[in-house]
Formats: sequence, structure tokens, C-alpha cells
Amino acid sequence: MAATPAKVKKLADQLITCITGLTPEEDPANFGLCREFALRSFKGYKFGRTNQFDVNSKLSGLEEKLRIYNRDDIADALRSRLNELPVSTFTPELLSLFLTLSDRPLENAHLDDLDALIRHDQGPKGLTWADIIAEEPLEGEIWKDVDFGAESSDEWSEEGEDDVVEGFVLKGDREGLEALKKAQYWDVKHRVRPIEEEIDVSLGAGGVENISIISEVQAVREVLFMLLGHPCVLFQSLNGIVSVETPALSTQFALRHTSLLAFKALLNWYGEKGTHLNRIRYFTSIRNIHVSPEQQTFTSAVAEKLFLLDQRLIEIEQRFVGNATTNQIASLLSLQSELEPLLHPYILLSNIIGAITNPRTPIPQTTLATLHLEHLFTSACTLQSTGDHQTFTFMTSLFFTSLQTYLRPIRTWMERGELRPSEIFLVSQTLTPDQVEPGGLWHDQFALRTDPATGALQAPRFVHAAAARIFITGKSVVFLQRLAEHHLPTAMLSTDAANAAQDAELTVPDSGGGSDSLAPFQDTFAAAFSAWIGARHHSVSSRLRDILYRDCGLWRSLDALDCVYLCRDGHRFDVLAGAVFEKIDKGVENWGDRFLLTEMVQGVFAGVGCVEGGRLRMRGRMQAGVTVREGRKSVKMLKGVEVDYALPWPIMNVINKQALEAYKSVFTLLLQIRRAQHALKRLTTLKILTTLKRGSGEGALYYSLKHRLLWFTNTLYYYLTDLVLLPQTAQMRAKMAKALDVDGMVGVHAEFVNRIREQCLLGPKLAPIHQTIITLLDLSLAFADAQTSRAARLLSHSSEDLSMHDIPPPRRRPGPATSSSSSDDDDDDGEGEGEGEEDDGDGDGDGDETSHQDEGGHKRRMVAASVRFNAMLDFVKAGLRGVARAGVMPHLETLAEGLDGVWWVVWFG
Amino acid sequence: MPREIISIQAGQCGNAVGSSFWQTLCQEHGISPDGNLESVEEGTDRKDVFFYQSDDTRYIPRAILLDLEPRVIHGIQTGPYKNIYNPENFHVPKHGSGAGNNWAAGYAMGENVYEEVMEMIEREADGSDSLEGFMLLHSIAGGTGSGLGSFLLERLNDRFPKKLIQTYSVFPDTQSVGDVVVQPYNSMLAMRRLTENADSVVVLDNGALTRIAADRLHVQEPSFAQTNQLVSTVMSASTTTLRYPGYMHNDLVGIIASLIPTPRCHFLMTSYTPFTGDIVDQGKTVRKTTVLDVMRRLLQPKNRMVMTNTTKNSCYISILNIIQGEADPTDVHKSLLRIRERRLATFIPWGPASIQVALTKKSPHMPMSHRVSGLMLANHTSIATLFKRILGQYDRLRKRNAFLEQYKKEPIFANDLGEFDEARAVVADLIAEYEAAESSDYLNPSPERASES
Ligand SMILES: Nc1nc2c(ncn2[C@@H]2O[C@H](COP(=O)(O)OP(=O)(O)OP(=O)(O)O)[C@@H](O)[C@H]2O)c(=O)[nH]1
Ligand SMILES: [Mg+2]
Repeated sequence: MAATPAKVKKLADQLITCITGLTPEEDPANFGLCREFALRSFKGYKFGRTNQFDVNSKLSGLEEKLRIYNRDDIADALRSRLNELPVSTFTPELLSLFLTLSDRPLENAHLDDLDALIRHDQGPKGLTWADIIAEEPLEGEIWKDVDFGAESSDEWSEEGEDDVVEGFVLKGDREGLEALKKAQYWDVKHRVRPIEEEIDVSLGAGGVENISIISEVQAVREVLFMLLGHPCVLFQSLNGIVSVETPALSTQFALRHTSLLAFKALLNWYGEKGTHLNRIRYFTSIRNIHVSPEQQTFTSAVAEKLFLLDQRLIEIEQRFVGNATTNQIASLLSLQSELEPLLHPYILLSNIIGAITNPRTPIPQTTLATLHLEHLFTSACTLQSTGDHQTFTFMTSLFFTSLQTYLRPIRTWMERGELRPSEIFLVSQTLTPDQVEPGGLWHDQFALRTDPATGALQAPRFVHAAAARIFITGKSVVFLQRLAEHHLPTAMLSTDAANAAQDAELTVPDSGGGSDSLAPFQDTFAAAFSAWIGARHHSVSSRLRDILYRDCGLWRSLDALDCVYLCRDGHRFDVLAGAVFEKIDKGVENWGDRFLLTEMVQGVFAGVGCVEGGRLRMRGRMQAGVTVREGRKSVKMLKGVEVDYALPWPIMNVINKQALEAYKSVFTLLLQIRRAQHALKRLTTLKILTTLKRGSGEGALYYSLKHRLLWFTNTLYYYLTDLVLLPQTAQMRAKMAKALDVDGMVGVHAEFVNRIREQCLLGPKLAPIHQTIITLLDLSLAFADAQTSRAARLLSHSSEDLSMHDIPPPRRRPGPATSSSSSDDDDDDGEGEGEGEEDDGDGDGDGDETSHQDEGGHKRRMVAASVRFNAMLDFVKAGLRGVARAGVMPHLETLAEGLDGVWWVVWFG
Repeated sequence: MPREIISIQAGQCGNAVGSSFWQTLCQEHGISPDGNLESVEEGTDRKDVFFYQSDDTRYIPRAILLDLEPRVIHGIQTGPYKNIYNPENFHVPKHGSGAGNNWAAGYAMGENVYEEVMEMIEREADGSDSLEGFMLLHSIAGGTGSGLGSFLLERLNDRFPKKLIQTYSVFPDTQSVGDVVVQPYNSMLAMRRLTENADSVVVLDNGALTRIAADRLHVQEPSFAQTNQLVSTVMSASTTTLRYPGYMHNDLVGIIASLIPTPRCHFLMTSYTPFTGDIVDQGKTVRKTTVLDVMRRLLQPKNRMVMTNTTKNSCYISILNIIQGEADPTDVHKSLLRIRERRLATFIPWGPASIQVALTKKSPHMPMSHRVSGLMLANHTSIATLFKRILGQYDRLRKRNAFLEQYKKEPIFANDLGEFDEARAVVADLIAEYEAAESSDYLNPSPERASES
């Protein structure tokens, strides 16, 4: 209670009015009583801090209560909000207040009420491209006429020549010029007059012999002349650099009313401007057909600007020439202030030209081609921020004129997927159409041009943000064309339709420099540029996307992969896997025959709508030098089982080879688990083992271990499928449906593949865990084998022989005998256990071993296997937890939790 | 390719339950009462597990209907789904009077009907690609389902040693020895076959069924028709993973293997939730159900379709929850964690303490008002208490040599009543095995115990 007494009093008053309705005005007596009472209570009351632990436990209690009454929805809502609540000094107090205020939350709380809390305010409607066009349809001269076809640069330069030349011709006022030339005052020697006529005494200092006095009008005209780039007497231009004092000039000129120094200073100022203008003039005069079209356009635009300037200068000049009779006040100073703003943009322009033509460090041709755009853009941005509206407009107009040419190839690319064969364009072709595989069309044929050294995108900075979309749009067009070639009429149609829809030109709202606009040019431009690309990008890429979805059957392909590799239909997978396992268990050496397997896999998936049988291939490969009988003891053998589903080439661009590899490795893992499950499940039909007596200990041990192994494989399988594949697939599809373009689709799928690879324990980080899981699966196989041969032995003791490769006989009547010897089976058994030290002659090849000894060894091995199982399970769990705790892959905790079922202690040894 | 299952329904109860089951299956697969598909769209279901297609593409149940009296089967043959069955798969004498609630009579009739019934079964087996097993539907308290059923279990085992046999066995209400006086005898004798000749028995306890139906439907005495709908719901739910294949549990052997670690403790109990108007005509309690609700309710004894008395030692050997509908796998996982955290289910000390879950789709032909429903298939040691009650009732009768006359008339008891004693010994042993499974030294039995078995 750190508030001042006055504040407390004020608050107390408000409280009293709120609660009682009394006011000090209406009922001062009662109000006073209340206030006195309240203040006294405040003073006397100990305001202990709210106990935050109390509050917390009350809230947990409330949550628990809600859950017990099956109001989990509210409990969850409460919990999630509590979790979100930032902790500040008064959080417990606030919560405590809420708790005190709450009124039977169990009955009265409704989740729907929360909706009332959401504020529905909508921001101002954003400016749309349509609005911009409606307001200011922009037509650019260059934009319309010239087709800078991508076919050949020579062709272009011929076509473009006219335009450029037109820009160089100065349409001067010839008459005015002639009149001006008549008044060639420098032929008339105006020597210095007698002293009385002189006003400036300083003239005398340097001697008057060489000094010519000229009138101010004459000086003004000289200056204008110089600025127009003509030779004149007051200035000398050497390599474009205008100077006033040069040894070459024998005569010095002076103004009658001005000191020579001031006159010189003025002339210097003009000279400096002249130098800049000369640089521009020189720049426009070079006609280099080898420079890029972008540069040529720039040159022409500059020439146009120069022409405008010249016109202005000539107009000014006319004032002094045409009507000499009028009372025209000629003043170098006023001319200076008149010209100053006019020339300012040109000075900046000259600086830019300087930076381009004489860079401090050599610039590669690719960069140089667009360097002017970069500079123009930057200076426009700066000018806007300094509020120089006029120069800003000047720069932006130059920028936009130049930009049109830059955009033309971009447009060609985005509309027709054609590239200008040059080193400059944003996009480069990495492989020719003949070289590229259809499946790599999207990824391999084109690339954004980047600096080989730095990896930075080689394009003006203002394009960077949009480059990816430009790139995608063009690729989409190429893709569509390819599809059209492959007789997909929808693809063909769409290109035309898109072309028709796309005639909008890049327009930027002209609010850039206006005082009313606060939006930075950079942003307005980015928005307009993005909209310009967006229209095209959207129509093309969404069309391509739709075609991929609909006509190329992306969904169907995803379904097929789901079915074939991710084993969505467990029954079909069972049938497929079962058939393979059966062959392997029978020791069929050509189990992997590609024709038989392919026929089988096609049969298994026949009738599944999404799977096209003809695309399916299957074969099994054995490790060299390993027999089936050896190989079958480990699930590693199943890595050799290869199922191939050949995707249609358009789809291959979305789901590439690496992705398919991930699908295959998930398939292998699922198949390996199935193998263990299959072996364990088969024991159920081994009805002879029913007779194992629990009392002997062996029965119980066998049942328990079988149960645990089966549970392990089931839990693992459940995790992989229902907890990983199912939700991840659903999520991927939802995202895929929202993807804007092919890159989006590729991205969504790549992310999906990464996720499942990681969550299915197939990532490199999880290799040790994966390895242990494989060992556990092998343990299951060994266990099942041992039990199968055990069943066979038990049976052979009842005088009948049995093959381990046959499903053992019924509970009551032994099955038919086969020729396969039981000693073979014992062999498998011994090695199947794989425990070196356990190899204790358990009757290998010796069917006459007494059953007592045999059982002893068998039991001991089972105990060892059981201990091993528990140890490995612990390792897997600890490993999963370790990784999960590191925060990298939290989902692994889910599997660890699933495997937590065993909490009993390992029993005897 | 399909793993076909042939079902055999015997006796009044078996046929009544069976016809309700087939009706449910037809509805779930969109098969009309005349056997044709109601919609042409391609489904993802596997009808061929329980049906085959006739030449005119009608779907026909792989069902064999047996009784020793015509009443119930006659009802089926004139009922709404009469055309769906293969007429050659009925065995019913025109004027039979049944087995008179005498297990021995039913069992004896087995020899007479054997040839004909086996022919039907062989025909069905030949008609399937890779037969997975049989499903026997019957009651164990009467004569036909119990006696003839027992006989068939033995013979099926001999004839099809590699095939699985699962039964849906209706146990009598042991709380009130009601309709059949000699039900303890019949039950005891049938129990022996269920123990020795079946791979898995789904126990449906009429005592529990009646009570659940009464409670959910708010009726005093539910009719058999009403309880049978509970039964057919359970049967259809427990076979969804076979008929609507997801990732896992798509074959009977998989389900049985993961539920039944020790071969003889294979008596499963079921819980189902929620029962609502969709399933049972008048139950109108529609509640919004969450996955956690479903999983929790499945563990409640009052939802079990078996009346058992849980002791402090009784525990689950295994649980498989089949969750139908749009259940979020993460919700399922969270629910499992919560159940484990609060130790809502106790498990045997020698196996993994975890509930297995199968997520399945719902039939698109059955619009359900609630999102999620669940069936629990559980192997719980307390089922032994049901057997103990039967044993107790049996002992009471047997001590008094009551009602033995009619049994002695039948060949199996012609010489002595040894069959009774053998059956009792098997059941007693079974009870002992369940009790042993509860003990922590199951894997390392003390010597006395070892000698016991
Ligand atoms: N749940 C259920 N139980 C039934 C039904 N019909 C009979 N029962 C139970 O089955 C037992 C009697 O067996 P039944 O099936 O009627 O006898 P049966 O197999 O036809 O044998 P017999 O009549 O002796 O030839 C009793 O416990 C009844 O409660 C039924 O439709 N549903
Ligand atoms: Mg009857």
C-alpha cells in the first residue's frame, strides 16, 4: 500500500459511490461515515501479500475439479491460458482477485463466452493493384513499341537504334541560336574604359590591358552557351572539364559592376555545373551497341532528360536574345538562383553516371548492366527521405523508364519461359532441355544467377525480394509447356488464358514524394513490383498447381506412396510381407525373383484405386555370399527388398528421388518390424507349446518373453504408424493443399520427408537407437526360431518329426511329417540365439540328447534372452529420452513413454 | 488374399445373436437386405472377410446356421434379411425339438449332423482364398449351442489344425440361476471345450448384458432383441480392424497374439462406450465424448460385459482398445499417459503394463452422433471369478446328484460321469492359472506351486 493518503481517499470515495450509490454531494453525512469507516479499515487492516502458492494450488484444484466432472474442455482452456500468462509482479494478486470474483465456475463457465472477448477490429483496407491502375493508367513509350526479343541482341540493337538516336537529337531553337550567334561580342573588343567609368577598383590591380569588359547580358549568354555544351570564350572545356581560368585564354573578361573575384567565383560555380552537364552529354553521346539493352535505355532516358534541360536553357537564353529591347534584367546571380534547382537533379545524375562509368573498383559486366538501376533506386529513396520532391520525381522517372527495359526479359520469362541468351539475366539455364530429365525439370534446368564467389543473387537489390517468385513463374511456364507437349491440353489452354489475363503493367502510385504520402518509396515500389509479379505468378503457378493436383494426379500419387511405402492398408502389407517371409523361411533361394515379386506386388495392390499396377516393381536382393538360410536370421536381410513405384514425371518434380529414398527406408523399417511380429504371431498357432507347463518355469518364461517381444514390436509399430505417419501425412496434405506454387509443394513435401525420417528414427543422430531396435527385432526372430524348433523337438519326442518351416501341428493331432531334418533346425536354433557363451551343446545335430539336458540349455538361453531384452529396452528408452530432453526431437518422448510399460524388476539370473 | 473368417452359429442364442450381427455388418458395409450394394462407390472396407460374392455379385455371409429346433432359424428365414444367407448353409430339422437344454444331447447330436455340417464348412473353406479361422456364436447354458458347439470345437480343431477358432460365447446369468436349471452342468461341460479347443473366447455374460441394457435403456427387463444389439455392436466393433484395415491388427492372429500371452488364459471380456440411440433403439443419452472419456469409461467395471468381482490382486493381462471415429492420435496418447499416471489399470507383474490401441475408421454408412466410441478387449484375471461362480453352482448340483438322469441317457455319460469330473478339473485348473498369473513369482514359482500344476 504505497499509495498516498490522498490517492487512497480518492479511490475509497469512488468505491463507496460504486457500491452504495452515495455521493458526497447528495448525502454528505452518510458518505462521510462510510468514508471514515473505510479509511479506518484500510489503516487497521494488514494487507499481507497474496500467497502465490495458495493461488496456484487453488487454480490446480479448480482444474482438477473440472476434469473430474468431465469438463476437460474448460480445464484445458484454463490450463493453456495459465501457461500463456506472463508472470509479473501482480500476477498472483490478479489471479487471486479473479478467483475471489468467480462464481461457481463448474456450472457457469462456458467456453463459448470466450468468443465475446475477442475484439473484431479490422485494419484499413489495403491499396489494391486494381485501384492503382484505375487511378493512374500508366503508359510508357518504350514499353509499347520496342520488342527486345530474346532471340538475338544484334537484332535488338538494330531495332532499338531508332529510339536511341531519336533521344540524341537535340531539337534546338535554331532561329534563336542564329540570332544569338550574330551577337558575337567577343569579336568586338571592349577595352577597358577610362578610369572614371570604372567602378571596381580592383580591376586596376592586375593591369587593365588584358581585361575586356563585357556586359552582364553577354556573360549570361556565355554561361548559357557553356551550359548547353557549346564552346565559348568565358569558359574552356577540356575533356569535359570546364574551367574559367586557363592559360589558353589570353583575354580576361570582367564585369563592370562586379569585382573580378566575385565574378570568377560565379563563373566557377557555373563551370562546375557545366562539368557535370558535360559528363552527362558525353555519356549520352557514346553509342555503344555492345552494352546491354538496360544500359542503352538508360542512356536514352538520360538523353531525353538532357534534352529537356537544354530546352529550358534555350528558353532562358531567348529572353536575352530575342527581345533585346524589352527591359530584361540580366543578372548572373538571379540566373544562378533560377538554374540552381533546375540543375540540381542533373548534378546527382552526373554523379551516378560517374559512379557507373568510372567505378573505383572494376565491376563485372553482369553487375554493371543493372548498376544504374541500383543507383537510381537508392538515390530516389534518399531523395524522398530528404524531402527533395523535384529531384525525387526526376530520379524516379529516370528509374522507371530504365526499369521497363529491365522488366521486359523478366516478363518474357514469366510469360513464355524464354530466356535471353545473355550473361546478365536474373535466371540462367543450367541444362538444356535435352539434357534435363523430366523429373528434374523443376529443379535442374534453371537457376537463379548468383555470384559464384559470394553466392549472392546477381540482381539489383530491389529485385531480391521478388526474385524467387519471378523464377518460379517462369519455371512454371516452362513446366506447363512441357505438359502441353505431352498432350495435356489443359496445360496449353492455361498458358494462353494466363497471357490474356496478364496485361497489367508495373505502376507505382505517384505518391512517392508528395507531402501527403508518408509511405517510403522503397515500400511502395516493393508493393507495386510485388503486385506486378503477383498477378502473373499467381495465375501461372496456381494453374500449374491445379494441373499437378488434378490432371497429373498428385493426390493420387501421394495416396499411392502412402499405400505402397507407408503401409496405410495394413492388410495388403500383411499379405505382401507374409508372402515374402514365407519364401524366406522356406529357404527359397530365388525368393527375390523380380518377375515373381513384381507380379505379386501388382496383385496385392490390384483394386486399390490410387495405385497403378504398371508402375510397381519389386525385387529382393541378397547380400553377396549369404545364403537365405543365413540371411533370414536377421531383419537386415529385408533391406534387400526393394519396391519401386515409378511416379509420373510431373510428380517427380515435387517428390524427388531423395524423398522416395526416405519413403523406402520407412518401408524397410516397417517391413522389418512386421517380420518380427510375423515370427512371433506364428507362435500362437504353434499349438504344441500350449502344453508347456507353467509350473516348470519354462512355460511362464516363454510366455512372458513372447508377450514382451510382441508388445515391443506392436508399440514400436503403433508409434511409427498411428503417432507419426498418420498425423504427419494428414498435416502434409493439409499444407500441400495450401501451397501456392510448385516450390511451395516441394517445400511442404521435403519438410514432411525430413520429419518422418527423423521421427521414424532413421536420422543419423538416432543411429545407435535404430541399431538397438534392429537387434531387438533380431532377438525376436531368434526367439521365435528357437521356440519353433523347440516345438519340433517336443513333437519328435512324441515320435513324430517336424519341419520348422512348416506351421507346426495341432494341439491334438501331429501334422504330417516332412523330410527336412530336425538337426538342421537345431542348428538354426543354436546360432539364432547368437550368444557366444551360451553355445553349450544343446543337442546340435543330436536328436537323442535327453530331453532333460536339452531343456536346461534351452531355458538358460531364454533367461539370457530375457535379460538382454530388458537391457536393450532400457537402452532404447534412455536413448530416446536423452535425445528428447535435448529438445531436438521432443516427439521421441512419446515413444519412450509408450515403451514405459515394463516397470517390474528383472527377475532371477 | 483376404483372411476369411467363417462363422458358425448354433442354437437359439447363437442364431439370434448371429442374425443381429449380420444385420449390423450389412448396414456397416452398405449391403442391402437382398445382398446388393447400396452405393456403387469404391469403398476401402474389406467385405470379403465375412462375405463372399455370388455369381450375380450379391454379397453372401460366410455363415453356417445350425439348430436342433426350427423356431429361431425359421424366424431368420422369414425375416427381413432372409435372402442374404446361402440357403444351403442352414442345418435345421423340420420337426426337431432341440437339445432340451441338455449339453449331452446336443453333443450326441453332433455325430448325426457331422457329415452334413462338415460338408458345409468344407465348402465354405474351399470358397476362401486363405481362411484365417472360425467364429462360433453360441450360448453355453442350453443344449444345442453348448453341446453341439462343444462337439464342433473338437472336430474343427482336428480338421483345421492351423486355423484359429474364436468364439463369442454367451454365458448364463450366474447371479440368478434363472431360465435353465441345469445351466451349471452345461456351462461346465462347454467350458472344458472352450478352454481346450478354442484360441480365444469372447465372454458375453448375460448377467452383465441385461444389467447394462436395463441401465442404458431404462427398462426393467430388457428383451433378448435388445441385449443382442449390444452383442452385435461388440462383435462388429471387435472386428472393425479386420474389416476396415488400418495400419495394424488386421488379422485375427495379430489380435489374439497380442491379447493372449498364455494360451489357456484366453477368455476375453469387453467394454463398449458409449451406447446411445444409434445402437440401441431407446437409449437416447447422447453425450459429447472425448477420447479420454472413452478410454476412462472403458476401464470402469460397470461397462464390462462380464460380471466379475475384482479382488485386490486381480489385474489386466492385456488390453486392446479399438477406438473408432475421429480420434486424434495425440489425444489417445495423452489419455494413455493419464491412465497410467493415475494407475487406473493394474497389470500382471510379469508383462508390459500398457494398453494397446488400434485406431479405426467408422463405417461411412453409419452416421454416428458422437465422434468417438471405443471397444475394449481385455484379458483380465478377474474373469476367473465368473468361472468360480459356475464351479460353485456346479458343485452344489453335483453334490446332490441333481438332474443327472437325462445326462445319463446320452452316450458320453452312458458308463460313468467321468466327463463331468474331467471338465471340472480343467476349469479348476484354468482358475488356478488365472490366479497364478496375478502373482509376482509367476515366472519363478515356488516349488509347491510347481508341483501343483
Ligand atoms: N443374450 C442372449 N442370450 C440368449 C438368447 N437366447 C437364449 N439366451 C441364453 O442362452 C441360454 C439358453 O440357451 P439357448 O441358446 O436358448 O439354448 P439352445 O442352444 O438353443 O439349446 P436348446 O434350446 O437346448 O436346444 C440362456 O442362458 C439364455 O439366457 C438371446 O437371444 N440372447
Ligand atoms: Mg433352443
